[in-house]
Amino acid sequence: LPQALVLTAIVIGFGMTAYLAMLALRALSESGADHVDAHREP
Amino acid sequence: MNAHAPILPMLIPFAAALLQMACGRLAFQRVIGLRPRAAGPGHRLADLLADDGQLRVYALGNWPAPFGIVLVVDRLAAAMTLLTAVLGFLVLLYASTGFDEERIHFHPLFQLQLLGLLGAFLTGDLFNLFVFFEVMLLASYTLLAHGGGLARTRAGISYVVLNLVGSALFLIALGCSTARWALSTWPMWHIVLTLPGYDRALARLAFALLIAVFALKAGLLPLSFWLPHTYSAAGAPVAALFAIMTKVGIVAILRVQVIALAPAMPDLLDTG
Repeated sequence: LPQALVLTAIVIGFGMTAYLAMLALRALSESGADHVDAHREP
Repeated sequence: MNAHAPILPMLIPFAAALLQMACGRLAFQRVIGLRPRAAGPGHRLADLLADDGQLRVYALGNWPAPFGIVLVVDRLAAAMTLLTAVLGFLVLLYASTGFDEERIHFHPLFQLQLLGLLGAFLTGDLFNLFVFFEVMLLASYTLLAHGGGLARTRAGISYVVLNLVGSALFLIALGCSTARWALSTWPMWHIVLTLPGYDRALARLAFALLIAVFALKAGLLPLSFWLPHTYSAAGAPVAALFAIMTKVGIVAILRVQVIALAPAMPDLLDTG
């Protein structure tokens, strides 16, 4: 049963990380910067 | 039919999501989402409980508790299921006035989010709570970004990172807890913590981490910093649905800390 737990956790973690990477790329392409707050560059 | 009532609130949104993904026509998706008696399964659960007041335990595929997925319907779960279904229906009604036209995936994601929410309310053990948390969160990430725009994408990134950290902590807490106590006595929420030979320090760590994680998800005061930023960026219907997502954290605190760990609490808090 611990194996099942770890496997599920790996799969879920992988999916979430992939989604995060896509989201970060999208933000980068939209704004041209990797800031996540509303801070404006000079 | 009544014997399988606990699984229906989750199966129906799942089937609806699959149907909506198979057919991308907006009108069809709306009809599936706003199906008549959308709150029916939750209502049936509440009815069943009102009839005899018995807890209902449902083991998926009739697998025994430590190996299979177990659903438990108590009053809290039935009330939250009904609430989610009603809220989901109203939100979807509002979203169908035009919010859903921007992307074709709004409706399936909405149903999957409902599935995650209901699963988190109905599940009978900690690990499945984690799984349904993730189902719910994955749908919410994409719903949050629905409609596009830089503000939403940015809010989405901080939200995703925060929840990834939260999930990792949840997993660590699960590891600490299952290693010692929950595995041998996994039955529902009445985890008997005081098995002979359990590690008190490890159990304390798990207990503290679980509180921290659920408080983060619930947006309780010291950990609510992410909430205004995220909810203000989300579209109105999405934010309305997210309102019940924080309640999952509160229900989880009630379940784990107040019900499941209650017998062991004096021992855990004993500093001697």
